[in-house]
Amino acid sequence: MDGKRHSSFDRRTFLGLTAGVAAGVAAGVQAGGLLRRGVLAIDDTPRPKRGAESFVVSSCRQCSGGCGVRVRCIGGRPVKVDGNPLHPVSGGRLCPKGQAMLQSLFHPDRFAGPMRRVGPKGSLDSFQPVAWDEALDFVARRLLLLRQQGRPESLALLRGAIHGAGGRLLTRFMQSIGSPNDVSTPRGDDATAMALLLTQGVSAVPVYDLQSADYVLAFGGAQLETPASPVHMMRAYGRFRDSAAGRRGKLVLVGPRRSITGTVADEWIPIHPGSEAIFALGVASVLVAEELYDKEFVGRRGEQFEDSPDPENHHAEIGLRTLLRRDYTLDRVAAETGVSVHTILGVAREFAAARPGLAIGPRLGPLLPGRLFDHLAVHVLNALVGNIDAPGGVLVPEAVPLRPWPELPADPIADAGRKTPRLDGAGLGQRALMSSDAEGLAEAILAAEHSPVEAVLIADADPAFASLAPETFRAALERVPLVVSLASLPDDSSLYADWILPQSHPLECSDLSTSPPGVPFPLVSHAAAVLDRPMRDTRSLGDIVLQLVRRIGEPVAQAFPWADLPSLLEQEARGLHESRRGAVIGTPFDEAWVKMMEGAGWWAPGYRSEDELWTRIREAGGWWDPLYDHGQWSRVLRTPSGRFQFRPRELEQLDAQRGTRSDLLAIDGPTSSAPERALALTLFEPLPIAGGTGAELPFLQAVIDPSHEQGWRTWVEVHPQTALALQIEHGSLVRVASSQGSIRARVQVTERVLPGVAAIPVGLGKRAGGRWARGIGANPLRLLGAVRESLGGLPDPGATRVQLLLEEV
Amino acid sequence: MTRWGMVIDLERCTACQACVVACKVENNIPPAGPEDAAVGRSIAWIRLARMETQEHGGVSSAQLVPVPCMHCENPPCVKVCPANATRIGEEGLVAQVYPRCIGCRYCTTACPYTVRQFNWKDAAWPEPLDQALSPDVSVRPRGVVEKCSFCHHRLMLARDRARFEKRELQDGDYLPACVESCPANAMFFGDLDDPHSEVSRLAESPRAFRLMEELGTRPKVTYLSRGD
Ligand code: SF4
Ligand code: SF4
Ligand code: SF4
Repeated sequence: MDGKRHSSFDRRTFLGLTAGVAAGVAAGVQAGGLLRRGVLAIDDTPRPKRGAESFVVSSCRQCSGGCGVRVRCIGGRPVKVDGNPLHPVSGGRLCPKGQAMLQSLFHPDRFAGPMRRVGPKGSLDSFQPVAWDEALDFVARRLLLLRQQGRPESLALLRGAIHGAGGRLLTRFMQSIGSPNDVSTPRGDDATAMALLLTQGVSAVPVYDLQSADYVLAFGGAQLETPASPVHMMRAYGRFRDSAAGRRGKLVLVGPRRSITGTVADEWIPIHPGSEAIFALGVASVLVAEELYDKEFVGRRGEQFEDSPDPENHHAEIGLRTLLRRDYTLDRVAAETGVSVHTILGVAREFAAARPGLAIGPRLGPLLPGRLFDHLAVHVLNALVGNIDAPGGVLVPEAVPLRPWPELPADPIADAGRKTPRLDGAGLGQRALMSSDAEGLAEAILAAEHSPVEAVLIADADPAFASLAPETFRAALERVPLVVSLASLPDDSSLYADWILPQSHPLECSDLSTSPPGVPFPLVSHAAAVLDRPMRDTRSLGDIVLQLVRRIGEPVAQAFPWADLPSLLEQEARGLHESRRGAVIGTPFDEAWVKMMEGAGWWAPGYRSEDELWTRIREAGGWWDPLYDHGQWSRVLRTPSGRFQFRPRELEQLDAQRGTRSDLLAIDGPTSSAPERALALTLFEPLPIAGGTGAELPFLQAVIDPSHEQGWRTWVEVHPQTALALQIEHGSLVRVASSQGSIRARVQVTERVLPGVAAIPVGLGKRAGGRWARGIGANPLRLLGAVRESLGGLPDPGATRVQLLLEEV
Repeated sequence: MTRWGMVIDLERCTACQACVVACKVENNIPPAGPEDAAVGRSIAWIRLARMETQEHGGVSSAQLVPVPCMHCENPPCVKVCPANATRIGEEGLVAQVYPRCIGCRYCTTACPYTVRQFNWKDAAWPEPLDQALSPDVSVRPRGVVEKCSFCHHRLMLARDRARFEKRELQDGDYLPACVESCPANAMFFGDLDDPHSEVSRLAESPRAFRLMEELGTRPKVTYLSRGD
């Protein structure tokens, strides 16, 4: 079913034929229906309407994976969503969330239109419908007031991962109002991005080139089920295991729980929770001791590998080699991780022998951060085998050449506001490496006598449910004087809103989004609105922002010189033409030829004008530049020395600043001192409900646990030995209690987890979320304490200890 | 002769269940709630089954295997149906004729792969969820059995398209919804009798096996085993 093939003939005649056949099929059923009516006297079976078939090219925004989709419509009604075969991320495929997208479009519990709170916070019954004008006028007036009072910085934004125009407009919105408090809530990429920043000096989420790797050492958990871009990763995995092409990569999972990635893997190496970094450095230590590392890369591109005299302090600075030899003896690593010396040696030798071997740091899901220590150690492992910016290695994504927006207008109020320190503390002290810290913002709101945040906008985020401190956020949202939610379906945070400005569903808006995290190539995806009009009285995120700034007036509105959203998108896309590179997606190209031509300064665009490019982008679904140039060292190694930092200097400077002592090699894992009977909490995000969304849709609730042992409820996985020790059984109902609170869960006794571990899925336990999510299961994020890991200052879900208490039945 | 068959490569399958959800959307399967799920009455034409395996170190592990209807060449379900409501039809597809089904459920018992499901109640789609229903697939009334059809309606559509373009049906023209969606490219579909088709080649692979072959059902779904 290739779109291109069909464009060559007259669609109308073809549709006539199809409808005829379909009618013939349905006629038989109708007869059955009549018969049945005679026998049972009941037949309410719906008969879906027939109509002309059409396809609309759009994109999936059920997660931040960035899949291009093609929506099949009958009589203008969308009936099925599939991947857009031309799209480089989806390649015609989708994940279960993308497949279930129509249930979110047609969800019966979506907000009917804007609402204002008239009763107490915390309940959906407290809301009353209002007109858009009234809602927008009110919010705009309050924001204008903040500016007039000279404290625009008391506006905060809590956002999810938004890669479309709405996200770019929100960034600009915060800048033009004059607030630095633009805060992102999902934290799944934080630790890996920090590791890249420290070692390579690049601010980006690294990309793991799985498909060209030969041996993959996956740490922690969910590299296949919930990577940054799930379909892109799973397609790469398909190619990694392409036996038809004579390739078969080996996948090894190292971690305390045998996730789905671990089930699919060739080998699972169970290790003590929190000892991932130690294992990685143990492997590193073998590579160095046995001289299996890439001497060329380490010598030419690396730094702090060998000991060196420190020119300033006049005493020796210890390099990675010495540290590994001194601190990471195999016996010690084996004791800390619970893995045999034999296994560590075996892994190291296989990893070094592979062409190439790729190590991927603990990926827990879109919401849960890993620990910087783990990600640094794993990244060092990649560098030791020279697998940086090489095929099958760790790549740095390239920027997308959308046309830059005009400068912000001169605005002293906004300038002053933007210069105020961030309320979440990101970029400073303990949080120096972070660009935002959602939980830090919630704490700041609660810490002061009056909330420093006067108004908060919540877009594509649900911090009162899907953050590492949901209860703190709930209390914080109770305190903020003006909470504006842009949710489309009621979510837990919208229960604490004063105003609800419901966004349209992605399939109801057109959009232009940039490359999702996890893909190396610059990509722009165009999404067309599938429905002519939104189902409900809703507006697109971009339109809401534009309508707010118009009401706020000059000089804020001046920062948005576009007549409307479509003209913004068209303007931005002109940058693709100006970049003189890349092609409309789906254009066949010969890599070697194009590279040679581009190298010689030629570029054959395949379209004649900007307008033609824009038209073709909308038809095909996007633009990309598929050619990744490996080994662009000046782009991917941007440390002051231009070298890979085996022992990042910045960490030492940070230590000096914050008075900590965070040696890269300090073993700070929570491997000991657990109180009697306490278990290490291990959270995971099943793909269908990852990122805190998905439980609203019945088709996704049904597939949370692929083995179908569990569904529509929260479970806790424990090892048979643990179950025996605690005298609990498979299927018992228990209370899982931490120092912060407790939730109820069903016990699943399984060898998927190590003894001493309690593994619980994240994504259930909503207070809102519509009829299929509300009150289903429990939210284990409520169990997390405010503990942070020492190196990066990230919240550390792995530090939580829980007890299981049998519930009376 | 054409004989439609499927190959599922377990080496590639990531147990993501895109196939499961794609099937539900394509085939107008009604949403079920927790009550239905608790008593095993939520319908899925393809599901992931757990197969326990013993691995080195004594750690038992489960492999997750997608299981649609096997479209057996020698289908036990057909033999037991008293109403002739299930039959092996054109090109080897085992079809369920809803208007004839009397709901006796002999077939659900006879199918060794337990892929047949009974409609215990009237299908319901709270408004406006019903707007996403596809006219290509009839909605099943209460009291009948249903199962995977290999998206038979897609075969008819594909044939129409080919006829319209005045050409023969080609390998890849007709794919069930699950196969089309699979992100890991673990599922293949085509004519097992065509020696040049991808499925017929893969079905000959040394890794190929079929579920419960010993029962003589002659399934047309082939699995490729994992192994190093
Ligand atoms: S990976 Fe994300 S973007 Fe792609 S289909 Fe799934 S939910 Fe949609
Ligand atoms: S798998 Fe079951 S339902 Fe399908 S043909 Fe075989 S016996 Fe019949
Ligand atoms: S869609 Fe493909 S990878 Fe996912 S469960 Fe089904 S067969 Fe496996």
